[in-house]
Amino acid sequence: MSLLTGARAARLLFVLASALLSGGLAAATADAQQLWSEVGLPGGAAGARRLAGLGTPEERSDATFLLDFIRRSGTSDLERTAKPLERYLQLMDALQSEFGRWPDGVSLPSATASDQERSSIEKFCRVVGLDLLRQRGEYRVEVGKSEEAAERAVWLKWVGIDLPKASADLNFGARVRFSISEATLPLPLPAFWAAEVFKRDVAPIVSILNARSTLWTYLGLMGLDEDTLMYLNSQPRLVRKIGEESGGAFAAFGRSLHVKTGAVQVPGGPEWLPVWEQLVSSRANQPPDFMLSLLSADGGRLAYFYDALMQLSPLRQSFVLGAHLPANRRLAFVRSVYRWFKDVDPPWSVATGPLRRPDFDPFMVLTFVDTRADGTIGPRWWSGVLERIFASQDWPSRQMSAEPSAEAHQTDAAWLLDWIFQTPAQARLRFETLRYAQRQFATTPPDLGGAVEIALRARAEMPALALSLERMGIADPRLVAALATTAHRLTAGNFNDAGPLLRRWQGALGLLEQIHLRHELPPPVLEELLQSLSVSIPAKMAESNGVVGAWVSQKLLPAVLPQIVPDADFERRAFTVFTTPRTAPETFSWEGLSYTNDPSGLVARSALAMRQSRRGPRLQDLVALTDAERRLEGPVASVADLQKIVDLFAPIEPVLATLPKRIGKFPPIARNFQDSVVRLRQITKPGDLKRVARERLVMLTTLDSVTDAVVPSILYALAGSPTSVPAVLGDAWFLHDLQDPEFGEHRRPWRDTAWQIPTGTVRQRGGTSMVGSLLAVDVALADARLVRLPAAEVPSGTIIDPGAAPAITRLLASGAWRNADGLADVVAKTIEGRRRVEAWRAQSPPTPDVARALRAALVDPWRINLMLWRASQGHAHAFDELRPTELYRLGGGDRMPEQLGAPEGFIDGCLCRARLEMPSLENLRGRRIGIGSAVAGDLSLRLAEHLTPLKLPLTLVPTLLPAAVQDWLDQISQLWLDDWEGFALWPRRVPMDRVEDYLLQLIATGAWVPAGATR
Amino acid sequence: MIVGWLTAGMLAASQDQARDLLILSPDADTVLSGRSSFSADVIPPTAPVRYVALFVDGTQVCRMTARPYTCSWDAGPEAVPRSVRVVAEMADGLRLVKTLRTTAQASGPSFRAATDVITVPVDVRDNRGHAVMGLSQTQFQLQEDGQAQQISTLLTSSAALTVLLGLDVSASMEPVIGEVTKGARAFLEALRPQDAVSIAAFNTGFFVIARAGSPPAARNDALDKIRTTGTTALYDSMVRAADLMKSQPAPRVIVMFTDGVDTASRATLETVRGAFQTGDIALYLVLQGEIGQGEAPENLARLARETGGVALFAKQTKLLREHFTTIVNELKNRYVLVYSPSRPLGDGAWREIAVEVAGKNDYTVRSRTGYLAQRSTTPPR
Repeated sequence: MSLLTGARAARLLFVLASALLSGGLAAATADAQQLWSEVGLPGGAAGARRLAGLGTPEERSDATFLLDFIRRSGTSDLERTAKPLERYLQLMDALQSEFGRWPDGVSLPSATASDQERSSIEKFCRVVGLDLLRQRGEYRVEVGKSEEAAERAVWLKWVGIDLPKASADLNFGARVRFSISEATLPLPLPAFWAAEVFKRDVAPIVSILNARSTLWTYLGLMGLDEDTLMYLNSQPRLVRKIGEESGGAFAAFGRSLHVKTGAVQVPGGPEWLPVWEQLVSSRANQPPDFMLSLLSADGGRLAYFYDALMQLSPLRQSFVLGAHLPANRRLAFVRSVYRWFKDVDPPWSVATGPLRRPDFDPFMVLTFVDTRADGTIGPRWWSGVLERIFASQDWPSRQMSAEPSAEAHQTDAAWLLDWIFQTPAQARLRFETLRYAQRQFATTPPDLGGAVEIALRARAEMPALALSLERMGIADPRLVAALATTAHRLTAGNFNDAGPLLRRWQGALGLLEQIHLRHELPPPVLEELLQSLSVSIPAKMAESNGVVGAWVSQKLLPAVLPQIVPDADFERRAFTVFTTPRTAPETFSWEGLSYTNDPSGLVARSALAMRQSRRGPRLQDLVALTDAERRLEGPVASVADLQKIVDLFAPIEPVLATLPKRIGKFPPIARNFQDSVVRLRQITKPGDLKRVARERLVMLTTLDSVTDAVVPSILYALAGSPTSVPAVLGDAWFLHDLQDPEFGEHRRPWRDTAWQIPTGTVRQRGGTSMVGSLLAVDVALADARLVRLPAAEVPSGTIIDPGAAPAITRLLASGAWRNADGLADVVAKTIEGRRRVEAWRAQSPPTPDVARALRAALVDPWRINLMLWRASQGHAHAFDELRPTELYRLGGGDRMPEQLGAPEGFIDGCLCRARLEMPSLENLRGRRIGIGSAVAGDLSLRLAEHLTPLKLPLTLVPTLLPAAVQDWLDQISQLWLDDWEGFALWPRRVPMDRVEDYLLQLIATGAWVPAGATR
Repeated sequence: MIVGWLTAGMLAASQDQARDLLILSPDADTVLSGRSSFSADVIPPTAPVRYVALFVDGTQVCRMTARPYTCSWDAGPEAVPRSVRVVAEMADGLRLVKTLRTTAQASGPSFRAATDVITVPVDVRDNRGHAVMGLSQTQFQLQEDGQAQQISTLLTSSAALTVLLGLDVSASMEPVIGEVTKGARAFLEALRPQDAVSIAAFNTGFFVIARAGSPPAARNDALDKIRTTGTTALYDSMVRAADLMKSQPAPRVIVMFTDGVDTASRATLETVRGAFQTGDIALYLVLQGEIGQGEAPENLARLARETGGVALFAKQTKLLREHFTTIVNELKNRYVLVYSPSRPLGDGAWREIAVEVAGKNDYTVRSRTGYLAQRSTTPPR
């Protein structure tokens, strides 16, 4: 049977015939209508997606089937991935033809049927997978028993044909109608495919699937703009050659080929034509040569560079192309920049893995680094500082002693990439350090260069310290340097000596951080506390000293709490203050009732419950012990005074029995304390008061132990709250390690972990715990704040890149929004974007303006082409796949305000949601590090959109995130690792009634306090 | 017009003002406490309604698909103000919403009497291993840290139980999930009508898939819909289960089934122990496959024994059903002793419990072995 008899093939031929009649195939003046056609997907998208593991039509549009297949199959063995699909599609094509021959249905032949009739039904049965049998003169059918027939029955079920039932119906004498759905996929340059690829007797879609080169060609063509397609429409041989010789580079970077009026348009514009023609060794007004040379040069690396440049904004292009230099130096400059595109990640082959990208490459640097109009990334003296930091691990011996280097370089693009990529293993860290400098010290004068150097060393070696201080709003390099110098000193010794004090000191700083995040200390208070903590270390690290406990009791708490009365209720009162913002909570109405948004009560309750889930010393015990110990420090004037002091120690004694074993066992704190108290009570003569000094060491050891049991536990209680079941985290602080908890060959040196942002690790004995510093613990515990609304069933298994998921949960670590400045404007622009799209629906085919507007909104060319193709087919949902942030840009928006920005952590390390200029998501494909972050802002924007018609304040968005992010995580279905569409689906679709569920949950948990009620 | 981007309800709301939703009961002056009735209606009565849902303080308490739109809900003993929200979804997608806030008790806040009582499940076997039934309260002797305690109540096998059945649905359960759900079904069928049973599934998450009071068909439906995915956070799930149960009427029982070593929990075994002990909950565990070896299962078994429950190991799948039967038989044939400790609770210390049957040295008595004296517990019904 000829497969070209399929209905789909017939339609394609019709389209092509029309094009031929109009003379379009050979003519360079082919009009836009002939640039696009369709190729059939026999059997529809559902079955094909199922077979290929590409999700469901509910998740993805039919039209993206082939693009999804190509991206997912990547570099895998085509024999394994495409061949079963080819077989399936051939069958569906055959069935389609066969069913077309029986429009009124099929019934079994009667005993008197003619040979011809019996023969055609026999053929029908063979194609479908039924065996036609004759028994006692009557015909009947059975589902075939061969492996092939079984497979066929399963496939038919996927497309809605129940073969056993059909078989029973036929045997019952019924006339059964068979039909099969079909889907259509966009086909750019149909003339090329007809002339160069499609074969007789093979379904067209199968011809595309048949070879890697044709798949790459399809992907490449799908990313071209109309002008370029128009040009290539007259060059089918060229297209074929490109596919065969440089298919990979064309698939990945072809989107940046723009041919207009017979010449290739180069990145940067006509001014840079000579540079590009030199690099490509070809003339841009000879597009075939230029394209072939560009795509094949350096194994596709030049195309990678060319594409990267084309994606950058004009300002960034100028930075990379050396616009600040005279024309005669530009080529050399561009070559030196290009060198790093050519050399990065040597094993990567564009030809065989075009959809892969180096995890971290020059494109990421050039996309996210701040550039200045003078072609630099910062003042000249930065280069010397940055080079010194990574050239030597020796910290300046004294604070503020470092001087800016006299041999500083211009911080232009060439220097930047040289400095970042000269040591590939450090490239990411260098970039993050630079970004930290750009955020924190962009305007710092050079006379503070020494302090800046120490701060940047801290960023490189102790990221948790630098980033936490940044998040706390500390931008004075002298204060950062003071704390960094202390931290460096604490980290200098061996772990046994320095570890306990380091943990204690970090805990105190971490507690201050968690309090400040919620309570917002005034800057002078915060700075004074940090200054005092920076000098709160003893001369001898290994000795007990009580310094940190004293800082907490005598500096931190008095600065935060209105009064210190360490009674049994003290810790509860303290939590109430710690969690209450200084700004008054917002009051609003919803559905006729008034509420105050005050989650602080919820946070305080959760934190207190976490603390109370386990026994142990409380904050009041720490304060009381510090007070008693300081009195003992003396001098003690009399025996009577001493006995009064000893009386103050008495209430501590039972508390020490509750110390966790790890803290209280070696040395035996409770017993030593008890013995010491007895000895102090035995001092009854003034002459014996000198013995008091000997007992101080015991009391200091006790104070350190109580500090160790109280401070990290309280900081964890704050960092992990609010959480739905606080007891789950009751012991988590205790398991937190500054170094890898398990021994083994992969155990990292403790200095490599003790100042990192903490992360979870699976413990050998089961369960997980945190490893890293005690700073930014709320970031590490962000997922503890997730709220799962009641569900009647277990969510289907989500498939999510484990490296990308934390970027989403980090949304929950961002805290409350202090104001809604600019948010209403963002929502208004997003709605304007929606209106604009709505107007497009009425146009068929869409006008060229639509493509221009989508390009300007940073929608990638593949999706633009898909949307236009679907719109031209009259598809009502052609533009539904636009993301909220894209709609915002379509409505005239530019950068997002900080609140709606992406969590930056997975791009440049910042613990903030800053205003990074996010590229098209396609530019992050292949790079796992940025996708989660880049999509994250969509959800907040969608929630803000929903709050607007409810007339609720947009500052409520963060309060909805714990439930909305959990829903998101339950919904994500990534079909391959860098499948960003799997991420983007839910934020696009969050329905209003689900937002109402989130709002109700806030009432249920008490985060919304009804008017007149107390929290 | 931006049809398609706005929800159907939003559009319909602007188009149709004729239909309305009324909250007939309660009203804003109502003091809600104990079993309370709710009533709502949609006008005109001819308007086709898809459902009417009632939410109290943000939680859905009932959903009705046919008139009269009435239901009842236990508001508990505290007469505090409540947010009552009724949503009617019409057949054409229009959503009507009405909200009101009830009032507090005029005489000020009410206080629930807290009674520090401890429940002690006790299993008594004769020398042939058969359950001994028919014992009276006076035949039991109970000591706490060596001091005799006054037993205030003896709950016999007829007492209603609050049971939570927790099933591990992590991906590694795939080969045995069919057997597990079969065993679970048999377990549920064997419980009595008076027992309040809920079902939870867990992996790294914890999902209540059938609440107490769900009809048998709904419970079976929930079991049918179970699918396996993810890894196991056993300890976290145990803490969540205990947290869910702690406010339910005693005696409380959690039956958990798992096959996996915990790879995802943040909670420790000590956290779990604290949650079960302070929640006054008996733990029954069925540990399937290779988990029946090593330190972790031993600790879990000890934990179950402490609560008065037991851990059963099923290396072979065929034992699963048998174990479920064993547990349900034990639950049906046990006693529960209730007493108020002579020393006040609150010091958080571990207190040993020992139970004997007077004059019956040949009986084997297995009971809760102690508790953490951390805080008040909920009185039994």
